[in-house]
Amino acid sequence: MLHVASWIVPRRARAEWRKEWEAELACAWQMAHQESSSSRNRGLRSRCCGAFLDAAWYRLNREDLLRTREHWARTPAFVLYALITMLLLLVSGSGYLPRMRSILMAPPYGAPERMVTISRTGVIDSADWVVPYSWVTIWRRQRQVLEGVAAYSAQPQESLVGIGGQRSKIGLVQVETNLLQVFGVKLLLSRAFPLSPASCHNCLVLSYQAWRHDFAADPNILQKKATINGQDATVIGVLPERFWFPTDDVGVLLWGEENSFSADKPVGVVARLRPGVTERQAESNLARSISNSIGEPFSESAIQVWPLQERVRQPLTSYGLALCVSLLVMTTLLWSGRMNLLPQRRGAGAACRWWTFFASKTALLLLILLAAVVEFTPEPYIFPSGRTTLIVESGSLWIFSVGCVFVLWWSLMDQQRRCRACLEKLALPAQIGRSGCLLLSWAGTELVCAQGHGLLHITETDVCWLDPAQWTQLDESWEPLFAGK
Amino acid sequence: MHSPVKLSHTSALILQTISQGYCYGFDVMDVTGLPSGTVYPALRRLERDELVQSKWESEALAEGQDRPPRKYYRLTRLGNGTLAGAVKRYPLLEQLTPEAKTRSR
Repeated sequence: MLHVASWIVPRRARAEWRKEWEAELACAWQMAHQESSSSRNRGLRSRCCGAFLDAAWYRLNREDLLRTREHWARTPAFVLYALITMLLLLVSGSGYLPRMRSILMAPPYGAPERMVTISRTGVIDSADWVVPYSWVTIWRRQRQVLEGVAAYSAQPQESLVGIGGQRSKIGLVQVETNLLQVFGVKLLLSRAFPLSPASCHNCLVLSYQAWRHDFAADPNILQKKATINGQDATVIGVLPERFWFPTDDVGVLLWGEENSFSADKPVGVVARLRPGVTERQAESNLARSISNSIGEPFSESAIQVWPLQERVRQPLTSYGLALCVSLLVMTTLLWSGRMNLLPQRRGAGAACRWWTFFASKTALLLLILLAAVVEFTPEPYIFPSGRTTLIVESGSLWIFSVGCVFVLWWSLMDQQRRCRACLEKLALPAQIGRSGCLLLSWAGTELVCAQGHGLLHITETDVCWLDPAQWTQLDESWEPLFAGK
Repeated sequence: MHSPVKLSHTSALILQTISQGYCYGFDVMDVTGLPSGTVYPALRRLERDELVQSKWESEALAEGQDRPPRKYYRLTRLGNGTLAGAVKRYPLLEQLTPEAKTRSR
């Protein structure tokens, strides 16, 4: 018990504290043996319980606590723990990073490498990336390159969905009944005897997120009465967890028969290529089938067949590019001598510790930034849904780029203001010199390491390109000044 | 320099016990009947306020009794003055603790 209680005591007082308690306990034990009383043993145990309160007093003593808090906040471990805590809060607050997982993990479709979207090219506004439904009926006859093709309404609509007394406004997209077959996905919950398309009026499938958040993951949801905007509807299934289409804002897929869209209605298209067929072959074939059908030449470059996985991961490429540019600028700053971050020459171990801390801190910050941008900014363009535009996609990219610059700048500044020997944050800023008299004498701020390892002088105004901060190492003769801190 | 320290009854009782010659922590617990979770934090506070002073007994003494050396507490001059004031405040304090016979230092 004393051993466990001693963990609470601050390290510098632990040995003496334990010695005192063990001596008292040894004496009491001796007396208990002499008196041969079993109740004495119980008394000794109950006395040891008080050791925890005594240890807590040591830990929670106000002066010690303040000193410990001030010291702890300056250590490199504090920064890393704080960043890890931020990351964990972000993960839990976002629901375990659903978009990141959807982007990075293999999609929950059968043979995802053959899933593609088909859209028009050569336009700026993504609302025009959709195609007329008449093209889909032409492509459906195209068995050479496509194993299956399904259309969905381009514009998701906010609809009031009511199931079993609960109501919620959810994004809704109308899809063809063969959509899940094209994706090669099995429903998480489905009816034992599926309804035929002919008898299926206002049949809807819920996304996993809508089923869980809006309808409390009700296992009997398929048996309950449903309505969409006041009209009767039937729930025929719940999608698996990681399947989200066309965006994660869409919670309901409204089943429609094939050819239920009007010929000129703009729709989005997903398809599954036959094994061995490339995207270029598919584009050529599909364009040719349109040309044959309408009787006019149709440019092959007007059709784009884009693998689904690439389209989903497209924003990461942009983010990666922005990050590379920022890292290049940072490396240039370090290389040019503008920021002198080299640690004291105390061997490979100290240098390794210095750079490891810098790399870990920067990597954690960038990870937090990436996760926050992906999860919480307006979603970058993923599917041609007509809701997002290039401007929105660029907005996320701009936020990430500016965030990268800020993160790297903060990381560099934080590293510059740390002791080159012990990595603790420098403290006790002191203004030296007279402001505005730069040509007469040195003026700036002096920071000192609380352990007495050195001083950092930062000039008030830069007079040349080189690092305005100068580190001065202190030798052992300075130690008495810092002893007892 | 030191403003008069106002003692709680528990702290006053512990000071009185120490002044009577019970200078070890466990002995204070035995005499006062207070638990260790009360006595030891109070001793830390009294030492912080410079009312008591702690010291380790000599190794020779401890070896002679075949046990490790213990830490004992003694009242300081300030502690004596504060105890005198506490006795005036708690008149029954003097009667609560017997004087130590063989356990004093």
